[in-house]
Amino acid sequence: MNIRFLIREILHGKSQAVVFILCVALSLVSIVAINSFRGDVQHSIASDARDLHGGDVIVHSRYEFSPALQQEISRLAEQPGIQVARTWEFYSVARRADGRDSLFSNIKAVEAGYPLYGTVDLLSDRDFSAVLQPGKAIVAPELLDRLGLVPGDTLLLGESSVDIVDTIRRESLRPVDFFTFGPRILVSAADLARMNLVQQGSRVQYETLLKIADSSQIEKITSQLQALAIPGQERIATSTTASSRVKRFFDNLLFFLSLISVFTLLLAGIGMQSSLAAFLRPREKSFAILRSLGATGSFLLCHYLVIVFLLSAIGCTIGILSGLLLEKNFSTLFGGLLPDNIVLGGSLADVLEGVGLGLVVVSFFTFLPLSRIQNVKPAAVFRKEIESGRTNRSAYVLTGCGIILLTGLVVQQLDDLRIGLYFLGGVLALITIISVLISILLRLLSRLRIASLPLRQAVRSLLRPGNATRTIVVTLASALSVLLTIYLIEYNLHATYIASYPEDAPNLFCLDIQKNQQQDFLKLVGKDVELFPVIRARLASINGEKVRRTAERKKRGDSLAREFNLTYRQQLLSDEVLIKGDSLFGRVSEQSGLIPVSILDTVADMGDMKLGDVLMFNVQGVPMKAEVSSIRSRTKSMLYPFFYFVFPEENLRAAPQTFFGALKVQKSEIAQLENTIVNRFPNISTINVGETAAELEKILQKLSAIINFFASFSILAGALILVSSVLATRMSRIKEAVYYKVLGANTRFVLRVFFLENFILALLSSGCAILVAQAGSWALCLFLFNIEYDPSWQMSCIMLILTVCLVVTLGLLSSVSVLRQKPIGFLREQS
Amino acid sequence: MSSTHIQTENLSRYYYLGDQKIMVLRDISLKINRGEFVVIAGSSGSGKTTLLSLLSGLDRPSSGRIIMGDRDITDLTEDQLAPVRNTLTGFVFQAFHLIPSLNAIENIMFPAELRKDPKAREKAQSLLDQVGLRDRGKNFPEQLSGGEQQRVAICRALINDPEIIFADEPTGNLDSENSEGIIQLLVDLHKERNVTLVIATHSQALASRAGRIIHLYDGRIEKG
Repeated sequence: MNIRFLIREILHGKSQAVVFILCVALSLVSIVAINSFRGDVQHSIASDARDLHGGDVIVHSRYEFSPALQQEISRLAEQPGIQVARTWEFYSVARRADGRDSLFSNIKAVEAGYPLYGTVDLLSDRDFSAVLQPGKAIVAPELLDRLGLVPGDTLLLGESSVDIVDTIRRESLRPVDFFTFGPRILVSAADLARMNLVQQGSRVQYETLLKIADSSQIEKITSQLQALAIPGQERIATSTTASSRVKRFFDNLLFFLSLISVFTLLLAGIGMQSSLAAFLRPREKSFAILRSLGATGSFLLCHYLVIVFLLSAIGCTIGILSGLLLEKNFSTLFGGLLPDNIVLGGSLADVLEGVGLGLVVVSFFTFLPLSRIQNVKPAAVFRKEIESGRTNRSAYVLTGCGIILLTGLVVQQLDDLRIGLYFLGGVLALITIISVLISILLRLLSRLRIASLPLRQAVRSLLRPGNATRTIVVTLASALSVLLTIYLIEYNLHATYIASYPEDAPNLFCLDIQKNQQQDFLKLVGKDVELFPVIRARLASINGEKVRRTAERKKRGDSLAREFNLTYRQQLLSDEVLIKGDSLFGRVSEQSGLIPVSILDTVADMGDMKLGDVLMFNVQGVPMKAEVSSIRSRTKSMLYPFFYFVFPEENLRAAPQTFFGALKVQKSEIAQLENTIVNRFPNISTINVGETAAELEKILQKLSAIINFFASFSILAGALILVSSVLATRMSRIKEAVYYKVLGANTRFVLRVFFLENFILALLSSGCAILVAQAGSWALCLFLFNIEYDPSWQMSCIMLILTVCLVVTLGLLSSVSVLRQKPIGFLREQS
Repeated sequence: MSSTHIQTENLSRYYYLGDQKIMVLRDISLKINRGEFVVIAGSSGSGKTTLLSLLSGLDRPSSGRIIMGDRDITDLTEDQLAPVRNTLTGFVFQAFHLIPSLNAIENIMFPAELRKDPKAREKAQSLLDQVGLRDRGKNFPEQLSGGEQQRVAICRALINDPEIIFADEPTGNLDSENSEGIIQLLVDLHKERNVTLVIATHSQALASRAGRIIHLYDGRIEKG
């Protein structure tokens, strides 16, 4: 190994070496940060799993526990070494005692001893269990703020009143508190009956926590309870297996961030390959000379492997350290979204994982340029144009292995084979579409008869051999299209749900109206409101095949494992159309004995359901078999009431049900009407939809800011490729600049050509990005979100301007040395 | 109008190679008259190309002055030299130096287009016809032979009707047949256009056709 040769080679191409190092570092920064963050989140959740769930065993249901299960829990509670605490969690409206104001709140009634693990820290620092007595309430500070109350004041909950005795500082069961749309109120379970809020059909989460002194008994007790639980309705889990909203939230967020960071990794990988190729290209003549002097292909390959290894090691170190540093500062980026007990910071495992990732990424993206070194023939010394060597069979085999390795890496990062493959396919499709677009545009440009001399020269320069025009545009356009798509989706969701709330859309939802309250409710609101019957049920099977609840729950987005609200009516809603079937219930023959059910297209897609499929429902313990008689679709947004499953009235009229009403009220009258309703019917929950959507938007904005932050790393990849390309074509640029000057052009002319070249490059990149992002966002809004699409051209223009500024500045800065070149110096070198 | 077209006074040029001062030209004072055909001859390293690049304004002297026509070009900046290079002079290089991204006709047109000459294309085509490359206009430099490239380079030097043509070893990269063609072309254009022609060469064939030969030896004028 010739060390001097290695050092000389690195120093000779130091600019490209720096770009290569930065690309390696960039490929790792966000992925290392995200992986380390994932580890910290998992550690914080796993290490405090009992605190997070409040017990060793957690029994959960949306209905009162079945008698057998309840009996077993009661039996266990009497055994020594086992503690039990029950909780009831639901939403309702809390009112001031004077009835002047009310607030949709999250109420949790708890038994003595709660929480069995973890704590509820109070502002007064007093002991929670000592403070929370019957008739008392401990509330979140925002409830006091919004209702204008102070500790000591009285709060009306349902049909009873409670005294506010303290405020919550922190709950270990809720390390982050943005999942609930109302402030928390903790009350004693002894007050539950007096409130009379838990009635037939009420949406209550029933939970029983068990603390088991002998930890070896946990699994056994869990199994015992599981054997008695109603499948799909009652969930038994240990603190280590139980799911939580916190965990689900971070799983989803980390999944999206992983998608973005893998995307950045791929783009930075392209940058790596491009800069390494640019690093090697000027050396091909030297390779040929060395070969003619007797150096073997292996000698060259070995030395360049060492060079790449050294540069990669530096890049990996920078990338890993920057990633860990970034993660350490996530608290600034994530704000209130982080669990309050999380400890951020890298570990040895994170470093090792980063090294492993770096190894895979560098290997994949560098082996092709490296493998070509061996193919340089000594005869190339005699030719002006050096053959870069054909890709041989071993290179194809290596490429295949690399693709498998990379696929493995992506799948491992996303922890999902199907989505990993879809993602890679999606990225490939994005790159292909942009590549095709750019090929067409470049071909058109090359055929254009351009009158302006600087513009013509700029176009010719773009088509200059060795210019990475295509790579730059593909990388920049891919990154920009992702960023713009995120913006456009967020913008359209905001425009639909927040900025221009539909004129006729209901803005106040009333839930849990009891059957006997219907007439009085309608009289009270004084409007002709349609009340929709709601029957809660679960889908047990489709065509005899059981719904796989565990797999369904792991799905991102809606799942078939959840509880559905069934309804009955005889006609379509005004915003519904039949897309399959002749009429709502027309297709099912009476002989089959099955009940007809009309399903919404969205749920049909979720379960791959079609006309004639047999669905088995579990309606609060009662099985009900139905056949899909029609499939409906909706013409309006999510703000209008909709039901996945609609039955004929006669089949569900007798089922336990509540009613749901959607009202359109003047914005200024909502609060007053809410007060009136809950004063008269304390069990009815009202949701101010506009306000809830605004709350949701705040979270969405925060999340999109985080996603944008990570997506912006991919822009850097494009910028690095641009710099690399300018460096790679430096000699060509100098040559052109010198020729221009010798022939009488001034510096302004040369500058104009360079400016226009970069300007066109930026226009092509942002143009392709806008085209792809607009088409993609339009499709997503129309087909996924079912909302109208506004292209928001001003944002596209802003992105175009920013891209032009970035590309032109970078391009010109990288060309400064070219502009300063004196003609004679270059000509002398060439002679 | 003065008959002296180019004049130098005590022209010197040196470079530094590390700490070592390399003297390339020493105290060159000469005059070249309008319409004269001058060859700068000398052995390799005698300073021919350096003198030519100083005379043409491509390089700047370490000391001394250069006057082109009535104008002292010694201290002109690159941008001030641009119109001089574009209209007053034309340059033919040994290595042709055609712009690789432009085809033959575009290469020839380029200097005319810089001065926004609306007849650039016609003139370029006419020049191509004159040098026998009528059908090669759309070919890129890499598609042309050495002799053809040099003819294109000569056309490019001529398109703005310059008063002076500088040529640095114009036959240096050509075989004898092509060399003869280029020499004849240069001689003809000197005669037809009455341009001042200054050629740096060690080709005896070319030197024999010149009106005057300036012999350089070790950076000094030995004879001429």
